[in-house]
Amino acid sequence: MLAWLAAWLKQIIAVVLLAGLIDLLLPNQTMQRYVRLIAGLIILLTLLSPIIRLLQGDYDTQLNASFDNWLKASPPKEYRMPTLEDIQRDAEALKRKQELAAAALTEKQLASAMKEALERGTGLKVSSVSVRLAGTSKTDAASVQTVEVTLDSMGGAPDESPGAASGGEGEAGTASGGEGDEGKASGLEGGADAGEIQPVESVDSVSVFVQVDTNRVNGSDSGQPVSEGYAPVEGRAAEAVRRVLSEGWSVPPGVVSVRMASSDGAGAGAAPD
Amino acid sequence: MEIIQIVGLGLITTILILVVREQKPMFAFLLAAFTGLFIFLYMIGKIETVITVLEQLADRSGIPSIYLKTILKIIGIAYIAEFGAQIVRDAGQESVASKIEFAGKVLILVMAVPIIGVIVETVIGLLPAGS
Repeated sequence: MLAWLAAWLKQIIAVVLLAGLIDLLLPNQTMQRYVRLIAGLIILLTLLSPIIRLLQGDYDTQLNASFDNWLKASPPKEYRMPTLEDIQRDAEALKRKQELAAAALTEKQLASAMKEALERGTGLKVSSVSVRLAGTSKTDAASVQTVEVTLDSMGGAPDESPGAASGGEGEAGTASGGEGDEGKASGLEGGADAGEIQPVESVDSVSVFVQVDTNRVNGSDSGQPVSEGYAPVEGRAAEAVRRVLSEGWSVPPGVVSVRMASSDGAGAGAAPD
Repeated sequence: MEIIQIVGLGLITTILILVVREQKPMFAFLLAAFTGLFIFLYMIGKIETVITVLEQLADRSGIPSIYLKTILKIIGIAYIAEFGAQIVRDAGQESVASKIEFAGKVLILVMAVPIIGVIVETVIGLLPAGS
């Protein structure tokens, strides 16, 4: 008890001495009041230290932590002037974002226009149309890379079994390539009025992929649309769909894939190749 | 006998400034500023001794080192702000000098924030629960 009291008194005396010294060290009167306030606070803290220790354990770590927080928080606050490269990078990112947004809008409009035309032209019930465009920059010609038409399973033409003609679709898929460019040019005037915006691909209100590589025109494209739960549709219905699309938007028939939701799960077994 | 050197330097600088001021006020100011800087740096080295003593004092009496750090920072801020303000005041820019002093005061007060926080928490903890 006595030792503890001695330590406490020693601490108080040392702090008071310290405060007196800094008072001496101070350069002028203007700062003196402020420094005295803080010295007083420190002395007060020392006087209170037994009570503080009683009440909340180790206040030293607390004090240390708050000091560290305060010291660490200040450096990040310093802000630097953005360099020209930063600005250019930001502009680039903004432009890309804008292009993507424009692309999404265009492809949405294109898809909805296609859907409308298909329903009018073929009498089939189309549940969704997704358009994928190739070519994403403004100087690039955008081409329709794939068109995926999903028919409503009830409204689909029942004249073909879902898996029957899937092999034919695989070959048809190889055809896109160069024709795609023309397809885009005329397709845009038919569909959306935004002629200068190329990259458009919309999955009807679901998701949008803008694909940059125009090389992917081989057979692999046709393989994609047949996914879980969907069965490819060929025959009269698909031909009608392709005809409408190629008349309205000059979409080459090879890039159009038609499928329908298969409620019985036949789609899994009917995948081409 | 460093004080003699310092005072001599000051006197010579003063005379030079008085001579030069008529022709080139700019050089007079530069002379004053550099002399002030020199004396400041020279003396800052001496302050180190005092700081060592303070550290020993803190060590022996078991003051938390955070107090000493705070106090030393306060001293440094006070000195630097004071010095800068005086140089600017020499150049005749009283308003800028007072702004520098203002910044120094604010920084010193900010030093008190963690301490005030701990004290306030303690005092609130002293009061009966519920308040």
